[in-house]
Amino acid sequence: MVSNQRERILDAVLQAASQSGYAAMRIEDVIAIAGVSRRTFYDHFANKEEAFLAAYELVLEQLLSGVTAAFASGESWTSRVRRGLAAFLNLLASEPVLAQVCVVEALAAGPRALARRTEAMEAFQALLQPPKGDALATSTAPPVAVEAIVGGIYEVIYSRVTTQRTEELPSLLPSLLHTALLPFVGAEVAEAEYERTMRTAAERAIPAS
Amino acid sequence: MPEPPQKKRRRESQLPAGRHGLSRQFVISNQRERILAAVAEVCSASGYVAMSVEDIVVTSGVSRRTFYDNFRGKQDVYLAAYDEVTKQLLTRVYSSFEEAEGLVAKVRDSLLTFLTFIADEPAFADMCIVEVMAAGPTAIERRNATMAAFAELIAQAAAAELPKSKLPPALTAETLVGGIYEVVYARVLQGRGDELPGLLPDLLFSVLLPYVGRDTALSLLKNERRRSKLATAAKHASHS
Repeated sequence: MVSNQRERILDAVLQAASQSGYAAMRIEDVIAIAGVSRRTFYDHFANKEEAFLAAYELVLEQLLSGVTAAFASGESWTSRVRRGLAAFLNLLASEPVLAQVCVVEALAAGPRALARRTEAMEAFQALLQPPKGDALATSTAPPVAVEAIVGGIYEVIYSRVTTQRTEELPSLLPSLLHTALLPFVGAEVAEAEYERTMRTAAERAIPAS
Repeated sequence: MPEPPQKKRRRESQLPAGRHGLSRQFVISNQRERILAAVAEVCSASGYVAMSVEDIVVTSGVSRRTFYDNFRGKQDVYLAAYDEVTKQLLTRVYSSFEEAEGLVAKVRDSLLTFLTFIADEPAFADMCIVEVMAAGPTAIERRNATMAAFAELIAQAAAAELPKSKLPPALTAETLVGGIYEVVYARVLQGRGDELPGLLPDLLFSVLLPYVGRDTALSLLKNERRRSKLATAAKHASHS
C-alpha cells in the first residue's frame, strides 16, 4: 500500500508537470490526480521539488536502462549507436508524458534537476565514445565534439517535444545517426548508415501485403 | 565605535532626483532600459522562477507604479528583456556573418562573435541561455525561433557554396546549432562562460565537418588552435 501510494504520487507528478509545466504545477493538482491526501503526500515528500526530483529520477532510469540495453545488443560500435539511438527516439515517442518531463520540464525545475540532467548527458556522451580498436570507428574528435553531438540530438528532440511533434522522433533516426557517427567513422560509412536506416524506415512505413 | 551612517548612494545608472532638465521621453526610455537591465541582473542572481516584480523594482530603482506603466507583470517584462538582448545578439552575429566571405569564414566569425558576447555578458547569458528554458511556453517558443534563425544561417551559407550532392541531411544544421547551444549552456550554468571563446577551434571543427569534410575540418582545427594560442600569448604580453 505504502509503495503503491508513492508510485501513484510519482505518476501524478509526471502528469501534472507535463500538463501545466513545473513552475505552474501545484501540490493540490498532484494529490487530486493521485487520489491521496495532502498528509500522505507530505509523508512521502517534503515539497514539490523533492517529488519532482523523485519522478525525474524514475523516468531517467527507465530511459537510460532502455537505451543501455539496446546499445548493448549491438555488435559493432556503429550498430550499438544505431540501436541505442533508435530505442531512445522510440521510447520518447511512445511516452509523450515522460518525454515532456525528462526533456523539457527538467530544465525548469531548479539547480538540483539541472545537476541530474548534466549527469545524464554525460552518461550519453560516454556511449558515443567509440572503444579503441573498433573496426569502423577509426577517427577521433575533440571531446567538445561529443558534447555537441549529444546536445544537438537533445535540441532536435526538445524542439519536437515543445511543438507537440514528439511522434515524429523515430523518423529522424537516419539524420541523427549520421551526425552522431560522422566524426568517428568518416563520410562513407556515415552515409551508408543513413541510407540503410532510411530504407528500414521506408520498409516499415509500407505494410507488407 | 559605531559606524557613521552611510550616505544613501544612488546607482550610477539612476537619474538625479528633482528637476534635471531631461525630456520626458528620455526619462521614459531610460526608465524602461533600467527595468530591462534589472531583469537580467535579478534573473541571473535568483533564476526566473524565484524572480519577483518586487526584486526588479528595487534593483532598477523605479517605482512600482512606473513598472506597471511599462509592463503587465513578470512574464511580460522577462519577454521584453529577452527580445531586447536577443536582438542585440542577432544583429552582431548577422553582421559578422555578412561581412565574412565564404562558408568557413562566415561560420567562424559569427560563431566567435556569439561566444564572445556570451563570455562578456554573463547576466545576459544566464537570462537568455539558461533561464529562458524555465520561463514558460512563450519564452521557449521565442528561443526555438532564435535557434531556427541560427540554423538557417548555416544551412543557407552551405547551400550557397556546396553542390546539392555534397550537402549532409537537412536536419544537420539544426543539430549542429543545438550542439553549440548545449556546450554554451553547460558552461554558463557552471559560471564558466568566460571559457567559451577558447572553445572556438573545437566547435568550429564540429560545425564544419559535415560540410567541408574531415581533412579541411582538421586543418581548420589546427589553424584555429594556433591562432587562439597566439591571441592568448599576445593578451598575456600586453598585461605584463
